[in-house]
Amino acid sequence: MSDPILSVRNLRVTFPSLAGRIEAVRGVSFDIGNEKVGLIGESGSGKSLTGRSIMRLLPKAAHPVADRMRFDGKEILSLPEGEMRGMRGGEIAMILQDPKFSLNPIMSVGDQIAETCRIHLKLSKREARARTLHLLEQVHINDPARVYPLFPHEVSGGMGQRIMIAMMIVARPSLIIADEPTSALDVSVRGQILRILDELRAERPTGLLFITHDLNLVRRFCDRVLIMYSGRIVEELPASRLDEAEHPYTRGLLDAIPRLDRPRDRLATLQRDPRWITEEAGR
Amino acid sequence: MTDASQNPGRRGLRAWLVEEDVTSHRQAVAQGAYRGLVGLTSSPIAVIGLVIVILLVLAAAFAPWIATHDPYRQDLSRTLLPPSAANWMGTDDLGRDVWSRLVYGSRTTLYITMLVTVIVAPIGFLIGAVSGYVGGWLDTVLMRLTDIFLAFPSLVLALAFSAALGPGIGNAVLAIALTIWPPVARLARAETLTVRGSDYLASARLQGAGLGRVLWWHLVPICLPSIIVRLTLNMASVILTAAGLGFLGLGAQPPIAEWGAMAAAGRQYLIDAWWLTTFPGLAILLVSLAFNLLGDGLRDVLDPRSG
Amino acid sequence: MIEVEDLQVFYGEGRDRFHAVRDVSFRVEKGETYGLVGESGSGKSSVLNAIAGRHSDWTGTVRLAGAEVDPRRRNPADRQKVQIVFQDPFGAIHPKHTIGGTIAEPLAINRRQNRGETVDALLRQVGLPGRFRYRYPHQISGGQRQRVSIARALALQSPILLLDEPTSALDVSVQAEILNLLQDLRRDQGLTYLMVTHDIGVVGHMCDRIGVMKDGRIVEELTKAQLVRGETAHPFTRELLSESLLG
Ligand SMILES: Nc1ncnc2c1ncn2[C@@H]1O[C@H](COP(=O)(O)OP(=O)(O)OP(=O)(O)O)[C@@H](O)[C@H]1O
Ligand SMILES: Nc1ncnc2c1ncn2[C@@H]1O[C@H](COP(=O)(O)OP(=O)(O)OP(=O)(O)O)[C@@H](O)[C@H]1O
Ligand SMILES: [Mg+2]
Ligand SMILES: [Mg+2]
Repeated sequence: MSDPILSVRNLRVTFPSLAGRIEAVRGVSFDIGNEKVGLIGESGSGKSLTGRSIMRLLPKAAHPVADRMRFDGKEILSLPEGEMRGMRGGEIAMILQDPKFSLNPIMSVGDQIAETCRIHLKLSKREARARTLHLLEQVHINDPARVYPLFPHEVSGGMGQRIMIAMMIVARPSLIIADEPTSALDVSVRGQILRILDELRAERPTGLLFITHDLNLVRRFCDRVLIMYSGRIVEELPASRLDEAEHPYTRGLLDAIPRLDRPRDRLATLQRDPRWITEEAGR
Repeated sequence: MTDASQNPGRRGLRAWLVEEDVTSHRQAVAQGAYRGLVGLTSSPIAVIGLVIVILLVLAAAFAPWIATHDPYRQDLSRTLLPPSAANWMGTDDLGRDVWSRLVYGSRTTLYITMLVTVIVAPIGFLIGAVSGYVGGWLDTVLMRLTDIFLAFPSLVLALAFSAALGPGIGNAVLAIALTIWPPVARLARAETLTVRGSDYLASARLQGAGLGRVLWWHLVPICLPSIIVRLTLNMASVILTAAGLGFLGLGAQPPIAEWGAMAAAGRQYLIDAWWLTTFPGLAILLVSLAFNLLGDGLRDVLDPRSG
Repeated sequence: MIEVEDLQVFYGEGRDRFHAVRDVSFRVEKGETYGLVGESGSGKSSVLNAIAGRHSDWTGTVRLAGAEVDPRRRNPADRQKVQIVFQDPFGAIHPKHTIGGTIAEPLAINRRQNRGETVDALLRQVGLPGRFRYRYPHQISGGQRQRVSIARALALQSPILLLDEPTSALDVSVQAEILNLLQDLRRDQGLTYLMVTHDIGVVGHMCDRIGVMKDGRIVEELTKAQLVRGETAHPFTRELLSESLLG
């Protein structure tokens, strides 16, 4: 691997709480080069917070610190807010987990994409509209003209996510953080979206941090997998060797997947071991 | 993972207020209030606002004990005396003690702010929430109505209403209330629109919830925080408008102690007796400022979007 | 238990009128789980919303437990027959009410007695500790919220549950817990499920029969056995299958 696009060392995110301080991300380190890195782990393990720290889009109360968080030669955490704003949606793009909450509920989805075009590409109103229709087609929304004036609560779950992706395509970023971009999509559209992500990456070296809980998807789509548990990375391995994972948490996840070829009466559920919280990642 | 879990020895009220395992409804509510209070008091500016507002309430409640004189007793032998040990803020043209009138005036101010809140919050919420939730022609009609009210500058409108209703403190409050509900309605409508398509409202409807239940149980908690913030921030202008109406003789009628009217009465003696306008003016300024600071603090605590 | 004939669902008015679901017919027996799979935007949620009564602009016949429902007017008896569990555990619960309040809401709306005890029983049924009653949604995890949604749907003891991608927002370990819970509830209470999902593994685990939807129509119906053996005629179904067998 050549120089990494993003390099993170010992990232910690803490929240003040009434009962003291909660450390939600506890010393996460990883590099992303021109590759697709999957980040999996259970709900609340800190995946989104890790992704959002890179964008510096954390809740106001959150306090991130890191020994290093370097993107493109710049230390992200100490960048002035103005410069960061230019980078967000520009060189670094993020697809947020909850599309319906990230979209403005009282503005039509088309207008929202058009606005992104006008800000990033400096297009006129007319051009932005034409561009938006084209983008909607590109993310495989049939009948873009019908979808354009719909409000976020009027589009289906999968459409919402594709609308977010269309907004991201506008900027041609070199680092993409995708927070569960496909969880509401069916397989065919998901395939198309993954292809779009691949197409974007083919144009220039692009790092992709792919946050998901779909193990099958990670196995096939990503190059490398990081497994998070309770704010730490507990295991890291090549995606193709996911099945050889050793950490009991990862094994538990693999066992919990319902599969057609191995029908069972009851699904295995995880028995959590308190030791996982304190253990260091076994690399 | 938290510090508290590392030293579980602490007990008592604070522990009860912060512990994760809530065991009663009362505790859940108390925890919410405590969290808000901690949030509010973490901002020094908001604390200043809160303290001044609390002082205002205390002054109004204990006016007879705080005032040094009877605010209505005239003493024509002691008119226009400058501040002294006997009359801390001097006396007015009828020989009444300015300090005592100021203290009793806090009751009027508080009365105005409370009354406006009580009138405006429900009206604004109902119009806005119904308009946003029901939609269709009702929305159009209600919003046009709101627009008409919004089109006039509020002081002019308040003047027109109170002139039409006749002088008097009650009418002044009514006039002010009539001018400030439209922005509140707008706000309630905007908040309602953001949750109108939400799954929890759908679920409630499917289980048979009617309009009243949706408004009260679902929309009030959503709209209330921003309405409270908005009203608190508006309080400054309410107090100033009330003072303005008092100043023009349309608000509180003599001999009621009201800060605006006091300032107005003093303006003929501006050069000879500065204390007549200065102290009521300062009181108005201080309380308006306090409401503004408190509103800013409340916005940070109550508005989830800023969290 | 559920009979749907010639269901057509529309959105919008006049020129913008959009025909989202066309000629959909299927039936689900008592105690059965029927799965709806299909492309995003193919109208799966629309079918559920029409049956549940969230959306009223539809034609065709829908019979729930033998009685036909009217698209425009739902009587309380219809409402108590069917409940829906939504995909998004974050948007399905009111953020400012406690869990107990949320679960008690359908009981309060329908003026049921003994709400306190019922809420306790429901929490136990979905495997949540009783003390969760006084928590707010932001204090619990996504999987726990989904349990709360399920508890709320169970509150009126409706015999039919409509599940709109109940686990797609959850990670696999939590998904396994929820699916096990749903299986247990079905067995213990004889519930009937109509379930939308993208995940063929989940379909295979949960459903007795599935309908594959595309562009508003059901293009193929399969039994679980056919699904497992891969006996399918439609390319979309095959794509779905290849997906899961690769895993
Ligand atoms: N505003 C906040 N205040 C306090 N704690 C928070 C806040 N936001 C997140 N957390 C905590 O941080 C932890 C990590 O959250 P995060 O959103 O990163 O989880 P995640 O791994 O993305 O989960 P999911 O799969 O559900 O999206 C959670 O345990 C959560 O409780
Ligand atoms: N309120 C609405 N107004 C207008 N069109 C709508 C509305 N709700 C849904 N639609 C349209 O109906 C079609 C079917 O939507 P539906 O939500 O049923 O799809 P779905 O199969 O559930 O998709 P997904 O898997 O992405 O959730 C979509 O094209 C959508 O744009
Ligand atoms: Mg997340
Ligand atoms: Mg759907």
